[in-house]
Amino acid sequence: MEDIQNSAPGSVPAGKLGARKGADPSQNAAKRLQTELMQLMTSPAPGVSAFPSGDGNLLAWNATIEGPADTPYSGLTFKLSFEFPSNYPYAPPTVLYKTPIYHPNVDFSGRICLDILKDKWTPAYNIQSVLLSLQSLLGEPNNASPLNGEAAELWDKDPALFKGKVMDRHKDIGDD
Amino acid sequence: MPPPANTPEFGVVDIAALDEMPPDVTESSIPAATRRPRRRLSEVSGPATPLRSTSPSSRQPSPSTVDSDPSTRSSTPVPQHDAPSDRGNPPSRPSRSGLHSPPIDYQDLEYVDDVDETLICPICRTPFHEPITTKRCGHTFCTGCLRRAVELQPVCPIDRQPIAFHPDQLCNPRIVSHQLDRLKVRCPNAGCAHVTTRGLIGTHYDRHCARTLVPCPDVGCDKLVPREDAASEQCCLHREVRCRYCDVPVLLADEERHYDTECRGHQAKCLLCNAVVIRHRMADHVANHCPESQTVCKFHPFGCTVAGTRRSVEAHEAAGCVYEAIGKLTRDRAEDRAVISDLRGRLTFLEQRARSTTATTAHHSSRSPRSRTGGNIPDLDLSVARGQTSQSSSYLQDSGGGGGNGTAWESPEDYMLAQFERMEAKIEDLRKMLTELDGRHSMMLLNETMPLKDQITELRSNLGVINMHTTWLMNVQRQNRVAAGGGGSGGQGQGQGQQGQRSGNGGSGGGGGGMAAGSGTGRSGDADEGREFERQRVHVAPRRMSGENPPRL
Repeated sequence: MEDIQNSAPGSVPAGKLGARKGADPSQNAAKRLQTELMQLMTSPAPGVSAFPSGDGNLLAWNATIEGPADTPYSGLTFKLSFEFPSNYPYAPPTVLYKTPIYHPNVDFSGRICLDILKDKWTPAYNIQSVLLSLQSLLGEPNNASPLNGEAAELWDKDPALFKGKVMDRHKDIGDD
Repeated sequence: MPPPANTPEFGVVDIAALDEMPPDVTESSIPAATRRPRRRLSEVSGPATPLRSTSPSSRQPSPSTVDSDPSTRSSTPVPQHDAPSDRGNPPSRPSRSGLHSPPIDYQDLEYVDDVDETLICPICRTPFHEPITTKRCGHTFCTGCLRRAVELQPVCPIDRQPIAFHPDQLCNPRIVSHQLDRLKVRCPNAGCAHVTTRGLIGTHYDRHCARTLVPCPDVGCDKLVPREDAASEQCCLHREVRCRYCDVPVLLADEERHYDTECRGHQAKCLLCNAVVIRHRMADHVANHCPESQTVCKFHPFGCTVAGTRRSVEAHEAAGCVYEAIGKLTRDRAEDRAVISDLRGRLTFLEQRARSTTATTAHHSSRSPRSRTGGNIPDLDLSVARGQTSQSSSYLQDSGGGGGNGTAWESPEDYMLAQFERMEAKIEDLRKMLTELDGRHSMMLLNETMPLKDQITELRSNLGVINMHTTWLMNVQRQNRVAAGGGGSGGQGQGQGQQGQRSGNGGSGGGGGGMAAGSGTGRSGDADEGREFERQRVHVAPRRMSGENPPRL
């Protein structure tokens, strides 16, 4: 109330934005994440799963993606970490591959280049849809904007070598 | 003037509502429903003590913030603590406008049934709150969710079509709102089990729910209490009282919670059943739950006399109280009676309609011969027929009957006849139903009275046996008297008679036995005296017998 009462009438929108960014969002984010968790539990999508990382903080999740069949990643499992901003779903989560992966759009520290996690994000995306997008990215990399140039080249040129590099790079990591 | 530290406790004006308002609208003109802080119940009812310790100037922030804007002053009632004359004057209460229970958070409601996925907002993943649809691409969101999304990026969150949050580009999907209003939800207040449709939960929450927070009954107090407490206590609920068990000072408003959770030794053993219950709830436990407390059968109103510990009474009820049948019968009879009267009403209605249909048909056939086709019939008659169709079809729908109301009729006469036949069939059906109901009722009555009849018969036969015994005893007595009159062995005869009398009295329930026994012990063989006494007894006895036992043999 103080924002409204103590500011000039014209500045209400600014006060409004301040109030919005203040108390509400993190609670909204937690609420939405809770609903998503419920949905992931009750109707899981095949090949992907996600769960809060377990220290009581709903804003950090761990997820797994199974490599789709008929791709160099078939049979492999990848772990990812999600970090949600307090104004989720209005801003995208930060997603990282925890399992080392050889992929044209993922760099060696696990960062992902995917438009829907950057400027093409909309609040209608959710964890499940992001995971499914990442899963399909494994089979259809965007070689036009690579983070790993070598991988982007090998994808078309030498699939066998690509597969070998994938297998070399893949190491299962523990749950720590 | 800097805002006091505790302002968030009071009405944070709902931002969404402010957007639609001209900037110079004063706080008091905002509708009460939108003025409340978006806050959860627990946060508001939480820390009361820090507030109490604040200085008087910052205790009531709403007046002070209002003061800072002189233009709003005129339309805002004077705060109570400035004007003591307002104290206890109910109309002045609205001036504590910041004091309200938080509004319902529609995105936090608990739904009784699963909600269809199509009614879920893709942004907040809960059923739409104030749904709004984009005109260009037809996607629906909560108004608040879409507003925020568009603020950040002016595109539709589903397909990235460019949109602006502007009334020209959005519309209100009525049908979605109606569907949402029909969803069943639970009251968001803890401790309230009310379930109603989402369209009505606001009314329940704002006006009726006993657990909704309302301003403290003391107009000088600036805190919230549940409505039920405010109604039962007329004084301020934020004064300290002593806990009646542990003597710790607690706020009156927190008394119940204190007793339930934190009071020292708040749990106690029930003296009857040894279960651990909250001491403060002991009376309720003993009255309604304790298996060892005294109670009566739930069919007590129907005549059951079983009483005892709740455990035994429950066992009795579980085993099947004989009065249950009577209770059920009474209830069934009331229901059946309602059904019968309903059927009777319908029958009357049908008869009337049949009569009027007959009349119309007769009238019609007298005016136009059967051979006429539909095309030749005057408009008036057709309209009558159509009226009939719609009326009868609406009736058929509600009575569960169907068939035929969509068929095209060759001519109104045919239609009338068909209609008439259907009516007759219906009446016949109803008659059958009534007869059946009647039969069922007689059967039920019969079933109930049969055991009673058996018992009565048994009682009668018992009565006959007793009567026979009495007669036999009387005879024995008479014989004894005759024997005593004839021979000198009076003493012995009396002895026998006396014995017989005793057993006879015992058989008839002990009534009046004391006199014979008492006088019998004092007897010392005096024949004359004894004879005299016996004569009296014999004279008296038959009369008394006939008085006690009604002549039903």
